[in-house]
Amino acid sequence: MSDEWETILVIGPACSGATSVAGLLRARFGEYRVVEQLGPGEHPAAVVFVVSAAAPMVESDARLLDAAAAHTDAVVVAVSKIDVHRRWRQVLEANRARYARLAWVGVAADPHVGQVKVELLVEQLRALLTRQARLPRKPLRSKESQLRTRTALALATRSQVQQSRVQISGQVRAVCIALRTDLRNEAAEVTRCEVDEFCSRVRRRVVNAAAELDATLTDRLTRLADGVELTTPSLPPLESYLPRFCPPRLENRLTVLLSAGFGLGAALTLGRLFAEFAPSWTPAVIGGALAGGIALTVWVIRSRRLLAERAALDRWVTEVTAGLRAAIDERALTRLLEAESALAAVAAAGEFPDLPRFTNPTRRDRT
Amino acid sequence: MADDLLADLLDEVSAPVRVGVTGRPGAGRGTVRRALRGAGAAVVDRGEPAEIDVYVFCETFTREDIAALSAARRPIVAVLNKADLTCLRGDGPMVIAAQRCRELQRRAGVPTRPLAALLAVAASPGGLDRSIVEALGNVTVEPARLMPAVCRRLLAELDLFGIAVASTAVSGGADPVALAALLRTVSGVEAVLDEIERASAPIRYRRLVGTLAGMAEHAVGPRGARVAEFLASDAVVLARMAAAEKVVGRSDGCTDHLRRAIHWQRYASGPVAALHRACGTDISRGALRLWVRAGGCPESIP
Repeated sequence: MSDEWETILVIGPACSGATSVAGLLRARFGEYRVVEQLGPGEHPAAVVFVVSAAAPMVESDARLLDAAAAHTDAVVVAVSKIDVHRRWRQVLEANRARYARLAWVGVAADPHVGQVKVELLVEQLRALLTRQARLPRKPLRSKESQLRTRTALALATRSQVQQSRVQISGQVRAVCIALRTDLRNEAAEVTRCEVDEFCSRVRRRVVNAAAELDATLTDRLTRLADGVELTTPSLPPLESYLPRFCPPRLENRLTVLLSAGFGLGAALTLGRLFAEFAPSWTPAVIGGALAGGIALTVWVIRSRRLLAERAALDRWVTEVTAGLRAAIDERALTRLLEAESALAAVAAAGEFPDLPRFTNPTRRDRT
Repeated sequence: MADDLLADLLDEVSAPVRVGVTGRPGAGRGTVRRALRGAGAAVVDRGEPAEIDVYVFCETFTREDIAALSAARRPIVAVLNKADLTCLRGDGPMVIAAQRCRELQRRAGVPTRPLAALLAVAASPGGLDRSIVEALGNVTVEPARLMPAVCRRLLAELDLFGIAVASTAVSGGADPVALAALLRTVSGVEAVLDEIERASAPIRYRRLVGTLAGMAEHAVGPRGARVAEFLASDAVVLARMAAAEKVVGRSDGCTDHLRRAIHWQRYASGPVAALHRACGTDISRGALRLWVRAGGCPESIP
């Protein structure tokens, strides 16, 4: 048996005499922990609610009783101070009219007149505890408290889903930023013949990252659902989020034209300069100047084209990682929404993921 | 004429303040009603309009009590009933109940007094008959010779603490009158009545001011001159002053009337409620009249 069976909660409104009753019960129930206040998450095996015999219970006392007895059926109500309040039986009957299902006894725990009278309470409490130990535990008592628990469960599910949402989107952002930085560094060093290879490498890495994030998401959702089977919604393929790489063709053509002009100009200038200095070598100077001009043109074209492609690749990498992020975000949101509605449906049906496994409610209504 | 008017005025103003008894069910509202009525308060029946409330509770304030006390629109006095059963040890129940009342009064901000309503009912005229007094004489005799029916009656009418107090007094030779006086003292009803009286001072003051305002409507025309004369007379001004002094709870008895007038005028112009401002003005005016009567000479400011 766990700890929660070993506590008896003695509670009551101010001046009701709960402390005296608790003191006496502590002496008589050595095997239980008799407390006047529960720790967080603690559930008592039985509750002894103490009210004074001075006057019938009021609404705030009833609320306290409801709250104390929310998690157990084993409740005994003790009407205290019966040694001085001669009309305690009338008070008890008035109270009993309100809570007929509970066991009611009169006690004098710290009597000013006569003897201590708690034996009836001890008897009732022992009987209740024995009965309680035999029965499987009924976790919830009234419809109201069931409703409260359901609401609490729904709220807990919701908050878990929201937390998952925040964590997943954070993770997606971190992965995408890391990938983008990495790929941009690579794009800055790519050579002309490596462009195609680089493009296919980018695709591969994006697909891998998407698969990794998907696996994380699935793992988290499985933990969140805890037994509830979740359907995977159909989503557009990842490819549709990723833009294709377009080499900068028009820019390349323009580069060719401008570089040719630049080469021609350079060749003419050099040719005329050398022809001035050595007129006898003119044919050789013309040939050399032409060759130099052509070489310069080719080098400028190649360099400009490489730089343009690197810039285009850089832009493309940014777009691809943004596309990846959008795809994963959408996927995560859709799946979390599915999970939330499935869990809410389970909670509303009165089943609890933290109790023994149960079947998934039919979800055929979804298309 | 002035005397007649004054007599009417006095009748109207000194009419008892109507007390309504409310409170926690089962706390003994009925007994408190009888006790206060027996002690001379003008207690109205349930549902009848009252001017002041007595809120009956027992043991301590519940949330409902606090809510009811803080929502009260009329002056209210909280009464801890069944004070005779608070604790039958130590200094005795009434002393312990009085201590508890002081704490509760701090908490709720409402005058709170203990009361053993059963004893107060017994102390009221006709509360104790001869057979009860005789039975009380027999309680202390060893062995006690009491019929069960008498026993039950004693318990119902005096309860444990009451029987203890009364039988000790009877065996000490107290006659029924002295016994009633003792029970009245012990029950705490005097303190409750004092508290009601204190809480009804604003009601009486408002009554006086309202009546005077009603009379002022007749103080016009040739026949109204005498009424106007009456309203401005020392008697009226001093009556207003006396009623106002009860509201502010201070009768300093200062003989330097001019200083007193200045003090209350300052008080009235200070940060106080409208009622207290009116009271301050009335006291100041009364003090000036007393000053003139004592030979003071008003001078006009140039």
